[in-house]
Amino acid sequence: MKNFEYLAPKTVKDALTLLAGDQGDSKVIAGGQSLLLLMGHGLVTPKYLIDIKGISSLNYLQKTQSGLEIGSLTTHRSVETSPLIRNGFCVLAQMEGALASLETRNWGTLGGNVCHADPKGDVCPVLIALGAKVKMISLRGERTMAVEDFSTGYFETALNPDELLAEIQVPNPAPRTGTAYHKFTMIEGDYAIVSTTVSITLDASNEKCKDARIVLGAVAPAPMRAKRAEKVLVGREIKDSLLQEAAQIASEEAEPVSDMHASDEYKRELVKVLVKRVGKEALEKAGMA
Amino acid sequence: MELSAIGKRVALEDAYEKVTGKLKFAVDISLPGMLHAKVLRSPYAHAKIVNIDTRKAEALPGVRAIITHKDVPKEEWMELWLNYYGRVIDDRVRFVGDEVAAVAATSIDVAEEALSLIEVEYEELPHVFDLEEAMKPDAPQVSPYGNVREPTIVEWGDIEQGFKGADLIVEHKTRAGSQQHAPVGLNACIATWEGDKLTIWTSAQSVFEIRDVMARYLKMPMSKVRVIGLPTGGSFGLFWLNNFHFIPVFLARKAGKPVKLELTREEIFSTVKRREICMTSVKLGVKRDGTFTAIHMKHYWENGAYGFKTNPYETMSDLWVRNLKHGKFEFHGVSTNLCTAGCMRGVGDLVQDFCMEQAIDKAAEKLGMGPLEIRLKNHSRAGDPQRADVPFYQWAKLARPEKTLSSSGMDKCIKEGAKAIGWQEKWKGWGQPTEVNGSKRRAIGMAVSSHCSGQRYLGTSSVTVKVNQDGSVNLFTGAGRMGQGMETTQAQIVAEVLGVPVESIKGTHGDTEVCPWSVATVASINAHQTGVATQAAAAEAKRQVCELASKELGAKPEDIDIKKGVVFVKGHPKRSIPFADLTAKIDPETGTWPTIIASASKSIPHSPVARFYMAHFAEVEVDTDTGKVKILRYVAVHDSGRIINPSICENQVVSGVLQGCGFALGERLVFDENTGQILNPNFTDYKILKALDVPDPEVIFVEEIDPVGTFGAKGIGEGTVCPCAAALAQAIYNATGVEFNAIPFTPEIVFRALRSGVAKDADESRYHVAYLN
Amino acid sequence: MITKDLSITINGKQYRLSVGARTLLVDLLRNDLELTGTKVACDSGSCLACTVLVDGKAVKSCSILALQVDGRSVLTIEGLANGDKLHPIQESFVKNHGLACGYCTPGVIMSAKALLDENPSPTEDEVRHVISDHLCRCGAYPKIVKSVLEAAEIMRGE
Repeated sequence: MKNFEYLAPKTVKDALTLLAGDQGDSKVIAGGQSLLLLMGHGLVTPKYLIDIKGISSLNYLQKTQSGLEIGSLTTHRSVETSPLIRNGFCVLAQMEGALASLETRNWGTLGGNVCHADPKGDVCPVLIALGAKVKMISLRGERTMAVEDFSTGYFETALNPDELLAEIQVPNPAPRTGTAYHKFTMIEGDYAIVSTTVSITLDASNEKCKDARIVLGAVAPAPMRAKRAEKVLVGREIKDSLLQEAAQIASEEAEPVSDMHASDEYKRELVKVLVKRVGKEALEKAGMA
Repeated sequence: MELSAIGKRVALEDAYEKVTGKLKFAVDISLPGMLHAKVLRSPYAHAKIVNIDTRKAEALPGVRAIITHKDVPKEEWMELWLNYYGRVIDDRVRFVGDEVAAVAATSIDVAEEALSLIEVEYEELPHVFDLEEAMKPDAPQVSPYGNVREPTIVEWGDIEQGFKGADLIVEHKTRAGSQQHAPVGLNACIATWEGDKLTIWTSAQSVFEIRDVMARYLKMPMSKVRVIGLPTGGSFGLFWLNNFHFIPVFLARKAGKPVKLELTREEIFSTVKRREICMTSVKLGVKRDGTFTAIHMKHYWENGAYGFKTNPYETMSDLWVRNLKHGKFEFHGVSTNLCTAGCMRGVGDLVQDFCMEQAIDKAAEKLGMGPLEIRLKNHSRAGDPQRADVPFYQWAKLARPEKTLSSSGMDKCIKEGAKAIGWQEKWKGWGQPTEVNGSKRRAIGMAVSSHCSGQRYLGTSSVTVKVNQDGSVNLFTGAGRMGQGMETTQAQIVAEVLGVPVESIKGTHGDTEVCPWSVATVASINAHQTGVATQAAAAEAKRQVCELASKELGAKPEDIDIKKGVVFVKGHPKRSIPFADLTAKIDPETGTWPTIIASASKSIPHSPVARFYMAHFAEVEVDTDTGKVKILRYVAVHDSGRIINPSICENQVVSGVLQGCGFALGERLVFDENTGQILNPNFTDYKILKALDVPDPEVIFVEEIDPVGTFGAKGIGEGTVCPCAAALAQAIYNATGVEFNAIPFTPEIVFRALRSGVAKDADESRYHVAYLN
Repeated sequence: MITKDLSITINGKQYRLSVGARTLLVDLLRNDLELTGTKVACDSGSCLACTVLVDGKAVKSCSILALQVDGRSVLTIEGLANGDKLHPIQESFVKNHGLACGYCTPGVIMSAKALLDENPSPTEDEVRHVISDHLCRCGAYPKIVKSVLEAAEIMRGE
């Protein structure tokens, strides 16, 4: 690992002040587990490493009228075990439970994961399906953005160099909404070869689909919504054949690349299977919500 | 026979050190003034080093020694079992990762920086990665001795005549990719010179192999090379003498300081050793009643850059010789520009079994027989002829004396396993699932295997037992400590023979200056051969104790026995003396305590030979939508003779099942097709099955007591991986009707084969350089 | 070399140290403090051999800088036993053969300790999920699960 200077601001203001002076040679770590790995292999070589894990004011998980507010420094494990993660948010806990190891989840943070923007990451696809937003702060002020827009590419985000990710906001699901998530892995607890999250909202009659989100993970430089596939579902009664049709379209929308574990073609086939299966599960949940 | 220590679940002798973190592996060792080494490795698959300039690196503060091909002997060194044949550092590199130079410095950071300052000019040479390509006469030549080794051939009868007498002839071909041992422990070696004496600290399963080869290569007396063999952290064949061991030895000599070389996980994956890539074919002649008439097996084994093997030791002949009058088994070794290949758990057997088992299945299906029936008909029984031990006779050009099998519990293994898995209700016929639920198809499958319990001509096992004046006992063996539980099982044997509590025995193993010479811990040798030596040494110690007691108790030595730490006259339990009181008695003649020391050196007999047997049964669910195979149940039935410690053996079996099933379903090294570089040299991309991937295997021991082994014990460790792939492939075939004859069958491979509706032809799969399937 | 002051409690003992910015927690333990019971087995953060407890939570000491644990409390395998008296988890591993080669064992035991501190009555499935993330190439998993469950019973006083 190349040498660097380690800075550990204890307040948001101190951190933002440091970032405001960044010359493009700083990196922020929360848990730091993913970044240190890259640094260990010499793939990232920052001059300054800004460790914000000590900023306790960014570690919270609370329920408000509109939904959940999760401080960016909340650990995965806190999300997984929080009593506030109930009902429509359960999918978050389910996703967290399968994210790497308990040891990783104990130290790693939700905000760190979102900012790392690993295309194989578990968190963002689920947040996107839930319609979550991120709040970013800097000395210049704050702004919010949909998670969907925040992940811009392969390990890239919309975060400016002087900004910190402060909060993740997950809105209350609309009535009669069900969200389900599954990742296909080579071995249990592994990272995704393909992941799929589907959120379905039924209309008042509980028959037709009012809204749908289909989010695919690990098949594009960033998590992606299969919007054409979503359109197939909206306004119609969801039957197996319709899910099949949506799955087919979603697999065409995906942009997977081959790697040593699976070819692009196979990943498309997995998308087809997962959209159908996860869609069905989301539908069942919506019917019961 | 009532046994006091054998067969008991005695806790591991070193369990306390292990659960407290006190056990030292080589990576944990640090010597005063020690330097740290790093190795510069080739970025090319095949190249000549035209020029190498180390001056800038030498000038870096903290650098104490640098070695290149100019600093090591011109001669090649040969690993005892041909896993390596080459120079320590050559002026030609033969795979990506091959050693080019090495630096010893005051810290790892400095050593790494120094590597970046070494200037090397390479002249690239044509390379070859593919096994079949490498066999062609115009292929780039990897080894100075050519790519193709002279084959080892075992032959008896006349196979042509055998095939003429068959009602059915089955021909089958399989392939397998490369697996890595992937133990959790890391390879490390610390070398230090004091005058003309060399001491090496290294985690090792083959301690005396390291000393002997090292001494011969360095032209030193063996007495002046001390190898302190430390625990390995698993091994499975990885912790043998390897080329990297020589690096700190030469660096330490040049620097005049102790030097430690610790390999990273990436280096271990891409430069040390791995299971070979191979191609196997079987031609099997069968009579209408299922009796085999002839087998012709050809096995092509890819050696990588420095492997030199032509002798995968084991032959299927010994499992199926019962009715077999005609057999021919060919083994061909081939060099390529990939990382060196060599022995790994189940070497040869696993992949040869896979081909043989599938050929047997094909025959059975055509004859309308079940898999159990055909195997029960043909497997070897005690007293049947045996054909293995080929390498020794081949090398020594001797006629092979006939020999027979000592014991076989194969029959029980098959029957017990069938009962445990519920074969009768679940077996629906070839290609027939037991249950279909949407895209999920379930079925069962089974396969068998066998393995040698050590090999006579590898060398003897020697053991020393010392009884101290306080009645405690020291046990010394030359065996390696790789986590297999050897320390404990050998202590149990001593306790049983000597009649003392197992807690009173302390073992010292694998220090060449202290322990008697022993062959390495290889080929499942310890429980069987080392056990015989330990038993003999302990028996001699007991004889000496009984002689002492004879005066004390007023009885003939042969009338005296020892049990539970009490020495007594047989039939008169009251005429006794506690063991520790006896050993503490001062002899009036000498005025001191008695000295009790006993040694034995044993080799297993030429005949009968002990092999151990196993039958594995798997129930799987294939998701035909994704190709993923889920193991629902796994039953492993083993005949390893007497089980000295059931807990140790159960762990061995489960470990083998996880590795064997892992290899079948996806564990494989992936090689770059342009450079041959291993692309997944880490635990993230190299996928290893763990506790959630396979339900706990049900382990059953049938304990067919062997007449040769100590207390009837045979080997166990290596065989445990062998039947897994064939059992799973059969289960998948039954679930889906599609046969998989190339290992591994990853989800994508299964998916594709199911989609195309045809078996994946082994000929179409090139795992040699398979970046994609 | 840029160093910084670090105040840390390890196995109940307070340390004030000066460490390099890039020193990983595991290197501090193994190299500087010679606490080699904590093992390293990979360079990809994926084997869990290096598991220690930081403020009672199991974490990977290979993926954390030493400076990141400033002011915190670390427990390693060396701090688990009380003198020569093994912790009930260690005793249970010894008795039930929840280990073979012993290389992954310190990490496994530390994770088991964190699990039982948080949940004294885990189900078999809960234990299995925690244990399965550890790489045990010797396949001691069934006996590890048994060891943890039996230790839990003993620690509950049953």
